[in-house]
Parts: sequence; structure tokens; C-alpha cells
Amino acid sequence: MTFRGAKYFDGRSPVAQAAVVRLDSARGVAGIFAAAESGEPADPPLAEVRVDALYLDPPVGAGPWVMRLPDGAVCECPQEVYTALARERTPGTLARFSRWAESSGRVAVVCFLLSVVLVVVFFRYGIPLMAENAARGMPAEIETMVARESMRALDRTFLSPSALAPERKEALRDGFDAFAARKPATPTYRIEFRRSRIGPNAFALPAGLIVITDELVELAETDAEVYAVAAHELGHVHHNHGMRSALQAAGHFIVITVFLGDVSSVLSVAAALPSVLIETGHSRRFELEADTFAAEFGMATGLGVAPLVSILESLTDAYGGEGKHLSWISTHPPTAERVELLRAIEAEHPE
Amino acid sequence: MDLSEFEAREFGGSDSGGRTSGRSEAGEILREVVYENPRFTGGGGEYFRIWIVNLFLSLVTLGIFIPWAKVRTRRYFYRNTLLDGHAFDYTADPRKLLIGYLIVGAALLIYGFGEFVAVWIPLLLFVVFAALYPWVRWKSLRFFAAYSTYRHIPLRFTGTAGGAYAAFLGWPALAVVTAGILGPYAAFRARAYYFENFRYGDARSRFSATAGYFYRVYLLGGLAIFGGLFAVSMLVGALVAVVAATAGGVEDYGGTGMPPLLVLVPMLLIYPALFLGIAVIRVFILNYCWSSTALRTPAGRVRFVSSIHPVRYGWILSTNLILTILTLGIYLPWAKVRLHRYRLECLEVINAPNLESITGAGREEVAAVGESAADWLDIDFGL
Ligand SMILES: [Zn+2]
Repeated sequence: MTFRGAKYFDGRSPVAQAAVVRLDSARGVAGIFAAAESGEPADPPLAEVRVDALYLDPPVGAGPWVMRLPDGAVCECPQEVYTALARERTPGTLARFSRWAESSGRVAVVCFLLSVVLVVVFFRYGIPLMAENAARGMPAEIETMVARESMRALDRTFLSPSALAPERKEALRDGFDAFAARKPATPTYRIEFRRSRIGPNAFALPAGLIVITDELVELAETDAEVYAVAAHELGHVHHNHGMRSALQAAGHFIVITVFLGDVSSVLSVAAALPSVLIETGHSRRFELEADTFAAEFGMATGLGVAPLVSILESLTDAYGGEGKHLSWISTHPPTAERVELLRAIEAEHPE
Repeated sequence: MDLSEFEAREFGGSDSGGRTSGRSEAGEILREVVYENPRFTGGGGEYFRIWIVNLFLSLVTLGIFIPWAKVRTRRYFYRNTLLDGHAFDYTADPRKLLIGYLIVGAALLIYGFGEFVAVWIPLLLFVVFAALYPWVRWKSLRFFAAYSTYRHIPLRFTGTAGGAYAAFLGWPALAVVTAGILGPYAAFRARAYYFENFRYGDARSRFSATAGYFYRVYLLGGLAIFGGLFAVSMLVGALVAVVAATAGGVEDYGGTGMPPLLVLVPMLLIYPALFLGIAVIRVFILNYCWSSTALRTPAGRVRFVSSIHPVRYGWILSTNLILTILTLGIYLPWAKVRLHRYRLECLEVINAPNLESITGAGREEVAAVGESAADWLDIDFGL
């Protein structure tokens, strides 16, 4: 078989020679000849190579078809040479798959839809699952270190030492311990009090560290309300939410960096947007899980669900009706939804 | 800017549309001068298919395909870019890149998690990174050159590791010590390190820029950026105050941090403002550097005229960003093609056929760790 219209480069000089490719399938040899004025191949051949020593480099998109010779020479040839050779010398499976997939609009659409599904599934289930497992396997020393560092960072920024009387703090701790003792299998925890620059608040750090702000203690009408908040935070501790959300955030960061790495840095700003929305969705789920734990804690220990409902309502009032604005992007579910969940759990335990 | 005017006078005007020729008016040697812009023969739709297949395979293989995807992408752009009727090519082996990616990925992982364990871990990594940075850049330039070919002849980068440490650590350090007075000069040295050290066969690049132009551009650009940043930060401050007042503080009970909206607002404003300011400075510097570079081939010099327009460039960057966000990323391939096209439109090559006269090409094997690091860190080669 003879193919005209090839270009031959010897690999040392940039000069392109018009060439003719002749395939001798009986001998398994490809000959590359300079093309004479008439277009006929001129003897002797520029190169003669065994077909199995050729490296076929398919184009990406619509570029030239490239055939690489073992000595570094290159032949840009018509697609037919490639088709004739490909039967004997096929490029890698992945390269062939990519080429096939890229050349069809329909496959591209399928790939697009599958990619979207994969990304959603991975972010919704894959990363949380991996974070959960990693958090479970996390050595206690590291958890303690993380909790200590986070506490230090918070003390520098949002928190200052508590102004509550030591007896008051002791009473609150003892009161909650008494309730916790009535529920089997409570995780280990430690309660800290801090004055805060961000109003009434409470949060759980890894290693069972629960922080309650003075402002929250002041806002609470009864001690039971403080215990209810502590129970909610104990729910975060029980489900290891602190470590899991840290790991999830790191996971999102890595995945987004990896897949948008080749995008110029302006676009990585855009990448932060979905990440924030995802983070928000996850923490809403964590909050509902912690509420569920707190309600079950309440039912099991006799603390009840009412204190949590009333402190939630006080908090909502203190922040000026949380459900009305920002609720779609807020890290917390609307209060009404949370209260409804608490009531439902209460109804399940007829006591 | 200055140089392209000079170029136009010397060669009797040019038409940037396609390939034109004219007679040199300089006198003695009446030789034909050929002007040509590299052409991109691909398109957004075609690149979209390649991009989406790459993305899909990267996802399915949990990221292992990423080096292949990167090589395919670069190969697509190179092979479909023609100068004087001949294509470029990118011949790197993705398997080599994979190792580098794994190393850099591990470092990134430690960097990302380190923050949660102890503050000094990211700090230590930062110091290590700063010490390795010139070496990485040197390696990546060598790798990038060795696997980029034109007419199937690889480029070569002949800069030394010592040169890289001077350009990317020594001079910047001096710039800091002198409170920025040597800043533009350091930038000049860094650019010179690229443009002086490329070779195509036996044709060496020659770089005739001077530091004076850098001083002018950085002074004016710096003033513009600070003015813009000041305006943006006033706006952000006002917005934060308004939101804080209406929301009555931070309602978060259970988590930490500010409402995400407050983080988003400054991010969405400051980054693009800063980026556009830096882009304008880069455009002027890039135009000047390309226009000051020549390749000496046996048949005569090959020169470049770069005439990227800052406003048009900024317009393309910002509309690309907005369209990409609005289409949730789907516009990305078209954005990339559009930018590539524009850059080629603005790069005129004078006497490209002279490149056919070079000899003494050789191929060298170069390790890929540097290249992949540079890829992650989004280092641009100024092409
Ligand atoms: Zn909570």
C-alpha cells in the first residue's frame, strides 16, 4: 500500500520533506520515501522501520497524525496510514478511548452528565463518608492537639476569659454531669466557659471540648436551658462533627484544587462559591443530628425537650428572627424546622 | 509600546491580520521581511469535548488520569497552533508527571491538614517551599522546553540553577531589604532569566530589554492598584457594617466563624480587582519583553512583536470569569480558547521561515518533579 502527502522530519533538522509512505504488510515493514516532483517515491528510502517499532501518536482534536520512528525522526502522515497501521499497532487503551469519546458530541454529553452526577455523589456522600472514617481512626493525641490549637486561636480572636463566678460554673458543670450520668454510653466531655465578642453562642471542638459563652448562660431563663444547649453540643461530640467538618473542608479544598488546578487563579475564586454552599448544606445536617441527640438525651435523662425549644426561641429572638433573612445560606436550619423535629422526637417517647 | 512603534518604522509598517511581506527600507541588504501571527486551528466546541472527557476520566480514576489530561490539553493547544504552516507539539510522558503529582499532592495534604494540628507546620512547609522554589522553577523551565517542539525539534532552556536562585530568591530578597526600591529591577532579572536562556537548535535567544521600562510600569501600576484596593475596601467595610447591623451579629450557634456571605463579598470584589491590576502590569511587561527578544538563526534574526491591549485583555479575562460562573463552569473551555486566540492574535513573528535554517538539535531527558509542581502552583510561562 502506498500513501502520498506525508511530511518527514529527520529529528535533527527543522526542514520538512515531502514524503510517501509505503507499507509492506507481508514483511511487517514501513518505508518512508522522499516524494519526487511527479509525486512518485524516490529510491533509496529515507527510512525503513519495522511496523512494531513505530510509535503512533494520535492527534488530539483535529491536529496532524504523527508517527514516531525509533531514531527520533517523525512522520506526519495522512489518516489512512494510521488506519491501515492501527490494526497492527494500536495505541494505549486509554488514548483510544479518549479519542473515540472526544470525537462524538453525544459521548461528550453523556460524559458531562456522568461527571455532574459523580461530583454531586462524591461531594454529598463520598467526602463525608471518608471524613467520618478518617475522624474515627484519628489518634486521640491529634484530636487533643487540634482542640488545643483551635481553642488558642478562638481565645485570640473571639473569646476572652469567663466573668462568671467560679461557684456558678461549678454548679452548672455538676448539674449537667448529674443528667449525663443517667444516660448510658455518653462520650467523654469537658465544659469550658468564655466571655465572647459574638454574643450568646456555644460550640463543640474535637476531643469533647464544649465551650459555652457567658452571654448564653445570661440569656438562659433556667439552668435546664443551659443543660439543653450542652446536650446539643454533646451531640456534636458524639457524632464527632468537629473533626469531620474540618476533614470535609480539607477534602473539598483538595478536590477543587486538583480539578480546577489548570484554571487560572481568577477562576479559583469562582470555585470557592460551590464550596461554601456545600459546607452550609453539611452543617445543616450536623445541626439536625445534634438536635436529635439532644432530644433523645432529654427523653432518657428526664431533662425533657422543652428547655431546648425555649432556648432556641430565645436565641432566635436575640438575633432578630433568624428565619427571615439569610436562612438559605445560613449554617443553621430555620428554628421552626428544628422545633418541629424536637417535638416529633418527643412524641415518639410516650412518658 | 515603544518598541512596536520602532518596529513599524524600521520595517515599514505591518498588517497583523495574516502573513504579509515588505521590503526593508533600511538600505544595504534588500531582503524580504515576513510578518506572521501564529494561528490556532482548534475551537471551543472541540476543546469542550476534550475537556469534558478529561474531566470525566479524572473523576472515574480518582485523579490518576490528571497528568494524562494535562498532557492531552497542552498537546491539543500546541498541535493546533501553526506558525509558518508547521505545528507545535508537546511530547511529555504523563507517567513521569504522575510521580511529581503524587509528591506535590502529599505536600499539599500536609499543608492543608497541618493547620489543624499545629500552627508551625504550614509555616515550616512555607519556608521549605521558599527555599525550593527557584529550583522548582528552573526544573520546570527545563522540562517545559525539552518537551515543547516546533517542526519536531525541541526547545532547550540553558539557564542554570544558580541563575534561578539569583533571579527568584536573591534579587527579590534584595528588593525586600531595600524596601522595594530594587523591586522592578528584581522583576526585570526574573524576566531576563526566561527570555535570555531559550534555544531553538543552535539559535540562541537574545534579550535587549532594560530595567528602566520596568520601573515606569511598576510605579504607575502600583499607584493604580493601591487606589483601586482602597476604594474596594471602603465598599466592603460599608457592606459588612450594613449586614452586621441588619443581622444583629453572628447568629451561628454550634459552629464557628462568620456567615458565609460576609466572607464571599470581599472575596468576590478584592480578588478580581487585584487580579486585573496585576494583569495590566503583566500585559505591559509581557509586550515589552517579547518585543525585546530575538532568535539568531543562521539565516538571520527572528523577532517578535507583542501588542496585547490591557483594556481588551482585561475585558476578555473578566467576561470569561463572569460567563464561567454563570454557566457553572461549562463555559471554561471556550474561555480558554478565546484567551489563547487573543494572545496569538497579538503576537507577531518577524521572519519565522528563518527558523528552518537552524541545526544542532538534540533531545534530553528531564525529570518531571519540577514541572508538576509548577503546574499546581499555576506558574505561567509568559507565552
Ligand atoms: Zn450545633
